[in-house]
Amino acid sequence: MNMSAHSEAPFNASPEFLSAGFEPLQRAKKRLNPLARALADLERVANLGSQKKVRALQRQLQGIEPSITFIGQVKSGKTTLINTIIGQHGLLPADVNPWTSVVTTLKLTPLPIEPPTSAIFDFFDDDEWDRLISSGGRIGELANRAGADDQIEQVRSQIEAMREKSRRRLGRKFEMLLGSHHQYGYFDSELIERYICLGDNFGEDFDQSDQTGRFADITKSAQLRMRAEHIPFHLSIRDTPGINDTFLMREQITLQSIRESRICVVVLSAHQALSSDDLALIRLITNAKSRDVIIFVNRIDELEAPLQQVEHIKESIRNTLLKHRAPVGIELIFGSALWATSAIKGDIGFLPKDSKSALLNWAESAENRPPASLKPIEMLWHLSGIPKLVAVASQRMSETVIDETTAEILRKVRNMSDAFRVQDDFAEKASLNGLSFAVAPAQFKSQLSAIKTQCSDAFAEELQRAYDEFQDRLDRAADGFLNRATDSLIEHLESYGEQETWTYDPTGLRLLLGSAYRNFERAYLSIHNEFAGACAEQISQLVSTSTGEENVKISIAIPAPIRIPPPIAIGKTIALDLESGWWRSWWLRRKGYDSQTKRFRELIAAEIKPMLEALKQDVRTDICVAGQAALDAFLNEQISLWTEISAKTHLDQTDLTKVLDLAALKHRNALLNRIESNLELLS
Amino acid sequence: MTVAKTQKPCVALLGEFSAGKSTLANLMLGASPLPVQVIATNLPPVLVTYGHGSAVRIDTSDVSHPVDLRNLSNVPLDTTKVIRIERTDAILERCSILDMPGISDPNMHINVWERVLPLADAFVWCTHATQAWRQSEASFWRQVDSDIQKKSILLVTRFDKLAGTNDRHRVLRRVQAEAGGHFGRILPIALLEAQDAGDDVSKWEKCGADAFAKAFASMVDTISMERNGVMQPPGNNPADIPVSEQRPKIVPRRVTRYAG
Repeated sequence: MNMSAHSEAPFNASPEFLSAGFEPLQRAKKRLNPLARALADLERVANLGSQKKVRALQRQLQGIEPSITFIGQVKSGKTTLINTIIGQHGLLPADVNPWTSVVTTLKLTPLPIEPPTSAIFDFFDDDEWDRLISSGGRIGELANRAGADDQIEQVRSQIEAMREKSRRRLGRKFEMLLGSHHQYGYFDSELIERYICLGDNFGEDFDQSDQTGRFADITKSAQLRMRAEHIPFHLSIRDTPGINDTFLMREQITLQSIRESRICVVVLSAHQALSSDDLALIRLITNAKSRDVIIFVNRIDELEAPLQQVEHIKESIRNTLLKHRAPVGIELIFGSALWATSAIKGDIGFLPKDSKSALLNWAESAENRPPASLKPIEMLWHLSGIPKLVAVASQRMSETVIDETTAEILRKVRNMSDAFRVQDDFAEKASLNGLSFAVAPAQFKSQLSAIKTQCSDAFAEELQRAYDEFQDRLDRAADGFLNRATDSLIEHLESYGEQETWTYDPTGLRLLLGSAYRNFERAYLSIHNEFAGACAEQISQLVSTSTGEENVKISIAIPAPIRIPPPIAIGKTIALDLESGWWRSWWLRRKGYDSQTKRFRELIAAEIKPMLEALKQDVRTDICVAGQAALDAFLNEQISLWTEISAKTHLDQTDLTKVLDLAALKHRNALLNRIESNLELLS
Repeated sequence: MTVAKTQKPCVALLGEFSAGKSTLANLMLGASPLPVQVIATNLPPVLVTYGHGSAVRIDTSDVSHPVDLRNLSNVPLDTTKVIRIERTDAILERCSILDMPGISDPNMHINVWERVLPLADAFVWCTHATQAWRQSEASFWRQVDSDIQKKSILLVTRFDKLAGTNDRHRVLRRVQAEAGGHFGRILPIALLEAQDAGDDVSKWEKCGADAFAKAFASMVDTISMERNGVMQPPGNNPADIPVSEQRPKIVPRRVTRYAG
């Protein structure tokens, strides 16, 4: 168990070439400067109450932390790859045998931190173990693995055996540790091994005196925090145990970690490009909401002539993805974590002979050829494919998490600055024209609340009506599809028997569902515009009447409708998409097709049900709930804004001029102008 | 004409795609009739038997059609049960060899295997050393009859890709622990080194080819004896039967690889 890589100190000096590829993140970082300046000004403009909000936004901006998960079949080289990206070979233990079931997250920060390294190890509790068993992923099924149906049973017995083993080993401590965590103000290889390396734990001769792996069976996740100078943003890199491991629990754990990251790098091994398990994994990730996939084909160093073979592999992967209707636009990158490791070690000599000749072959093509200005080690780094992987991932991070968070903060900053502007303008106007509220603030507020309740309820009612109609439409579409599919199956069985594969393309169903979705989207947009417009109008009128200034027309901006996500649930792979014998087990148990019509129909219905349910659920949460929340937020904003203003201006003319500091107003005006011009830079 | 069980024992080569099956077949046959690729090959099963006849494609209705060996990639997968090639290599005097398409190929339908699996008396399962014995393999293997499992060999290929004796030992130990109960023997091999060994006996032994050749011969003998009604003494592991010196051994017939 004493692997040489493990006993090395965790921190190597980072070579300069490590920052190659991170340029998109550097640019993103620069783009954030105007927003930071606007926030600083806004903090000055804000009153006590809203300063808290501004500071929260500042923290949100500083805390943007894209994350990326490495995922793939067991032993495809995920861990070694991650070690190279952070420039610390041997930091996370990689081994010839799979020996961790822990999801390890590296939390990297660009600036020095105190303490320089720290670690948290979370332990499983009974509920989580049970969840692992029950929430069985569908990789086996999607990959059409033989005997996939009894995998849940296998997971259960494996987990039970492991639980029992740790109970014996940890004794009384076992119960205490479950569900808790251990925290350290440092980490090193020894500590990591103690929590995440199971070791070769399959023989009778397992050495219990060794600290390695002492807690590894019950560790659920590890978080390691350290500085990575070469990465311009906070970044989370997540390493997973891998799929298609005979210890199926690892697959379950891996699948659960998919949802943590927007960007997943699927690591393949060049000697076996895109097996059905890889394909199933890619489908599963892309089925999940807005997950981005990058494929890294590792171990091209093990090919005899990568230059020629990579072309074949690329074509074969592209064809397979196309044939199986995987989403288009998945980036394919080829490389070798072994080459990258040797670049970081600064030693080409350590590469095996075959690997060197593969390297020379790979360097021959114009596309891969490194710029002549590079030093040999930098060329090796370039050829390893890591800078390219980093560049693609950085670009995606910049376009997704960073841009989206920035846009959200930007929107909030703009709203706040607009609100201050309205408030000041109004105050100014009040001071000049003696505008004042003729009604008591409390009464004014209750009138506003009444508008809110009425608008909000009417909106909800109208949206519910549209949603009911949408559900009906889905059910009708599914019904028609079921009739056609069942007829087709019966007909197939009658004319061909059960030996030949029956397929029934669910594309027609998808078209109908997509059209229902778009129909509902249109309904939402029109309901939103109608009701938000009516609200704004009513508020504006209330302000006019309350101030007795029928001519002062307050214009209230109608909030934008929420962005409607694409109907991802429709793309969900269902058994009907797979050319497998999934339906054949039915007839094995049953004879006489015609008498089974009802049963067949139920079985097909069960197959499409998850898709329908997911679509309904998505529409409910993504459009109905989010749309209602957006309208309510707008109304609440208006209430608090006008309540504040009315309190301020419920004063007579003399008091008003005393209260309003016109010089301060002028200063605020300058700040608001500066905020606006900074925001302008961003859009 | 139908594909009945061949008269001689039939050994099928199976495993994930790109695990070295075709390289192994070519090594055993002493020529390169089968294409070797890193990507899934989309070839139907190929049955190589002793004889002088020309190659035929046997379709799913058991009808034979002549086939051009240089154009195997055009053979329609969904209507072909097996391609049969007749050759006169020494090994074929003792057994037939069935080269199966790799499992876990997303473009290969399960029917392709199911149609011909019953032909096999035993298997040589190839697993790639660096990712040896994954769930997809274990779950496929579980479907195979346990009598056949116990005769079969698990061959850990590309063993040379594991650096150092310690790593090699540990991978073998893990595979032994997980799959040992479901195979007669588990053996490591470096196929490319075997291919290049030529007449160099020490290289041949070092790369694992010699041990495999002996285990293979013993497996074939066991099946032949069973076929001829010689019952196995109960409890006797077939792998333990000593290889008779008189029996032909599998040796590489050619040392240079054919182009293409």
